[in-house]
Amino acid sequence: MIEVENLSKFYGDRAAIKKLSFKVDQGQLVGFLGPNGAGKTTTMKILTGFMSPSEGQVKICGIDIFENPMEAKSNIGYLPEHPPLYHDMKVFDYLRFVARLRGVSKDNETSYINKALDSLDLKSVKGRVIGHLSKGFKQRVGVAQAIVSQPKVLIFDEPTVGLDPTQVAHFRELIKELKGNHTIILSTHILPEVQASCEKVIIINQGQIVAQDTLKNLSNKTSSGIRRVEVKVRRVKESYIKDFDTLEYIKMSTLAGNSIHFDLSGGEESLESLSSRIVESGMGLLSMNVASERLEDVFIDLTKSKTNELKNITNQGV
Amino acid sequence: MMKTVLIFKKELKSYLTSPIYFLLAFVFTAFLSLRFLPIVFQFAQLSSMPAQMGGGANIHQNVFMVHLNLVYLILLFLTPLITMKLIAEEKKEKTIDLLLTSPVSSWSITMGKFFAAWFVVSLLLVLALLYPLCLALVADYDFGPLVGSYLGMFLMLGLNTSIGLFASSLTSSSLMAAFIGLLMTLGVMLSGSLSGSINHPFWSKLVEQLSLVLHVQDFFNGVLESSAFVFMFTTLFLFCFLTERVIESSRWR
Repeated sequence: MIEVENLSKFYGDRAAIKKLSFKVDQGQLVGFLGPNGAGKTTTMKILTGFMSPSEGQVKICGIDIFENPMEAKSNIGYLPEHPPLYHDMKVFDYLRFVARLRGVSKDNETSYINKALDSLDLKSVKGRVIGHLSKGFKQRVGVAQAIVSQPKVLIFDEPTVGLDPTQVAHFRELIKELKGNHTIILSTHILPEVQASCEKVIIINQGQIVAQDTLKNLSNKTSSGIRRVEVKVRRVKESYIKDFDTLEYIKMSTLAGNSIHFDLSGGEESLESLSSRIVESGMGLLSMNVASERLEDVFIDLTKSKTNELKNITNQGV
Repeated sequence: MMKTVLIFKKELKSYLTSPIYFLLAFVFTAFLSLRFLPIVFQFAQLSSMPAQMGGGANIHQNVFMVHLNLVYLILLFLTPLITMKLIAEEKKEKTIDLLLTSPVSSWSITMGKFFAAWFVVSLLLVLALLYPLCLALVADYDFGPLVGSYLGMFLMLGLNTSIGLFASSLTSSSLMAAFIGLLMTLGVMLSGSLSGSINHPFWSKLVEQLSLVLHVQDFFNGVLESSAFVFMFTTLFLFCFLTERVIESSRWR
């Protein structure tokens, strides 16, 4: 659906993005993550044909966006960082203008617009002038504008900025509905959003892809097998804990009150071994929690460390 | 073509629903109304005098041209104000993103906007034409020179509109666009007057031909010369072309 090959963009000597390559299949929802200034928006702009790259190729639905821009663009719905709204137009008129601009036929026009209005709950404001709407409404009109032509590919650049929590939840529902029929790229730095809806993640930092994989695989890869285990016991016996430290698979242990944190390497065997040891020690095991790695940790881990260290975990095909 | 019409309609609607346009139209007609009757009275006085004392005046020269000069003087300033928002505002509000990521060519964007602005500027000219037409009720005169001069003015406003549009594509500030547009219009208008200060015969002639005033003079006298048409349309097209290039270039920056 979306194929990107060796995409680079230089501003003078400075590279905004360097040799990006990725592929998104039909019906997939991909999260595009990165800290501010990592090149997210630049990439989005190139994908939508707003800008041209210095090098590389982008194909939307098999059509090269630079050789055949008209055709490729009619398959794209794009919500930029700032929703492109004409403040003097009424909501309905605006959506009709966008639909016609993207080449929706006259027969489908009204039904498409109504569908977009419905899915974003905009029916009540369709006759109002956009400039008079609140920020949340404006943002939703922006989303409606992207989906109104029912394009095959949807590209959202930070879509939930300015929405309140209910609206954010609503937006997530909408994204899930859209997934499957549309191929979606969602760029954001709000991590829970990705966790909630995306099945695949592309993380970029300083213009380069540092990771692209499913969420689950990503967690496993970056943690290099180390997991944090939190254990609660009734009686702490420090001598035993010092004993534990000599074990090969325990990297570190810290004691806080009657709970102990272990950083474990290895798979389930080490967990099993640790739990039986604690039980044998007679400290009275109350609970044992294996912290699942959060995307946030992966993100921070990947974006703060030096790029060359990350090369080895990058890109084994999504 | 369809997209050009779409953008034309959208821009036209945004002009005709904006209070600013009507405010400009009001100022325009108020000026004209205040000046028109005195011009006519003066003409009446002149024509009642015997020819030896400067009487026997021509209605085209002494009423319509005076009126039209005033029209041009006002529109010279109003046109950049009408065109200033066309592209500068799109850049400022980032709505240009929508146009450039939609399947629309830069030509459609340029021409749709150009024709919409030319249309509303011409509407003002139609308002101005009502004044001489009213005189047809009470006086008998030849329509030929009148039509010729308004056609010339129509083309000249087209040229000014294209200059304003180009100015608007250069910046994201509307006020700046109006200012640049006005300066460029004045530049094109007055460039011909330099010809007198150039000694070389070829360059002097060339600069003279570049002058807007020279070509428009023919129209105003009711002479439709092909060189004037060619000059108007090529210059108008040149500025539309430059605008299209500026819009297109944002993709390559």
